Amino acid sequence: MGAFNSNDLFSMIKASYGMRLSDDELEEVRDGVKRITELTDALRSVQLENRDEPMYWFKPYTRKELE
Amino acid sequence: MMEQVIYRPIRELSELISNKELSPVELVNTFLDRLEKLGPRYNAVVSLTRDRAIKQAQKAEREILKGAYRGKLHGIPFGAKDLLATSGNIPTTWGAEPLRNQVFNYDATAIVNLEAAGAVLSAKLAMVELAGGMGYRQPNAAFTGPGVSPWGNGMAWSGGSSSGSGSAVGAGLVPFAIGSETWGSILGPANNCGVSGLRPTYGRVSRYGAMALCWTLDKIGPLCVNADDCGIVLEAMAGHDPSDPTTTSEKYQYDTQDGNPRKFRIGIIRDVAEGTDEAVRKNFLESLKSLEEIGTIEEINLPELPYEAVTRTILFAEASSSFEDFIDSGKNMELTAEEDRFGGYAGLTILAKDYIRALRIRGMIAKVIDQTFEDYDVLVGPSRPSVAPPIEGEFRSVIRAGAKDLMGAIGNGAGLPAISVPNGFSAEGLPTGIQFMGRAYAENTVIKIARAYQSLTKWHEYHPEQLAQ
Repeated sequence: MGAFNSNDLFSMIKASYGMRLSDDELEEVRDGVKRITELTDALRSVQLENRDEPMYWFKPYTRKELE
Repeated sequence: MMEQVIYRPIRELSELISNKELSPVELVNTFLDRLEKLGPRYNAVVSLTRDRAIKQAQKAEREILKGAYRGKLHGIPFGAKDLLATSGNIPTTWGAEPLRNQVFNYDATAIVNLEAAGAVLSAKLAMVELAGGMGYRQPNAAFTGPGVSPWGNGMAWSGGSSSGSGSAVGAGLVPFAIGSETWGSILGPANNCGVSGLRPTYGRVSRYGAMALCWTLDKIGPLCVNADDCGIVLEAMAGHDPSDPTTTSEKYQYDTQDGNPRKFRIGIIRDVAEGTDEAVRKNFLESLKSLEEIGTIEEINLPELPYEAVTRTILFAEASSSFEDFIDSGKNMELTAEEDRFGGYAGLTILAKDYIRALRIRGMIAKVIDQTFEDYDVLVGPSRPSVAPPIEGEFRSVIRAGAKDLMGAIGNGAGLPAISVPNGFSAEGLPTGIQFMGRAYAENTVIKIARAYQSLTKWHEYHPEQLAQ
């Protein structure tokens, strides 16, 4: 419920770029999207807690500090 | 003169230069001639930087004669992967046909630092188009043609994406080269070309002026004839750079001391050699026997986590953003490998929440692996699951999940240093490699154990006969 499946995501690419691609190439893209959704499904095997932050920290910028 | 300098380590060349027994100008001319004559055989060179090299070599010679010797890289020629920006109207093509004429008006920090140490930029070296970010699955994925390994009679792939960096060092066209790795792009060519390649810790070397494939995965590092040289080059390249805020402020000083003889603590991830080629597995097991002389070896189990899925998700998501405009412009349709023309679209479907989920699990992985290094100096494994594949046809790609690479996923995902050094040959005469991976910022440890391994074996001293003569 609420999750995108690979067909939904493929349709988005087909709508945006389908004109450029042959049928065979579109099939390759479809396979690629399927592999992407398999990857992201694998990520859901891990139980995350609210406190588990992304390993990507934002730091306010000042030119002074960089110098 | 050629016989005296080809394949000689930087440490030995520098001694000859500092003693004024070897002229930097003659040295550079020797390698320029070799790059020009032999480079095309390996599809290794994009641009020869002859004028810049000769000016730099003449300057080095003048300084050295006056007694102003800068250090071990003074007067030593090198090549740089063609994703590092260079000024002076020298193209920086990123290996891509539609960008053949791209020029920048500044130099990448890695090149600035090397030139400040007196090293002489002699060539921009070939690479897989866009560093493989479009998902290539064949060697012929650059406008320069497939990178060719100096081993395998012209029929074996150099590896990618730092293809020219690997083959130029392996063929003795330069004493050292600079490559970059997002996942496998230094260790792979080092393996296939029979040279030593160091992937530094993420943030050790500035990425300023380097093509961005993935901002949180890209690392710049050296490929050399031995592990010791990797340390010498890294010291010159590393350092904080205000233009790349992800660079560490911790200064890197290469530790050349072997110290008191002691046992290294070596860990092997269970089943790490599973599914590898027979020659890879056999040579890896032989290497472990050598390593038993200098360390204790224990098999370890890591917790079940989606290591490869995390690094792949981050890679695809960031690469999709890096090249979104390129894809939208339609320039991807001009790339060399057919699959690269449509390979970038799938990554555009990664949702923000999935990318962020991967970054959250990355934090867990980083802690798990750092904890592992409480008990081990290094983790060891085969550098690649197979020997160099043929230059024609498809290969098994770790990026596309066609082959397993747990150490590559962990090492690149957590930003850890690793070095690949040669550890034998297959029955067909193709080199294999062993990698040592260490804790973040522990380059000295991985280089030290690689040096110790190379003191016990001679694999790094083998070079294709016709090239060494």
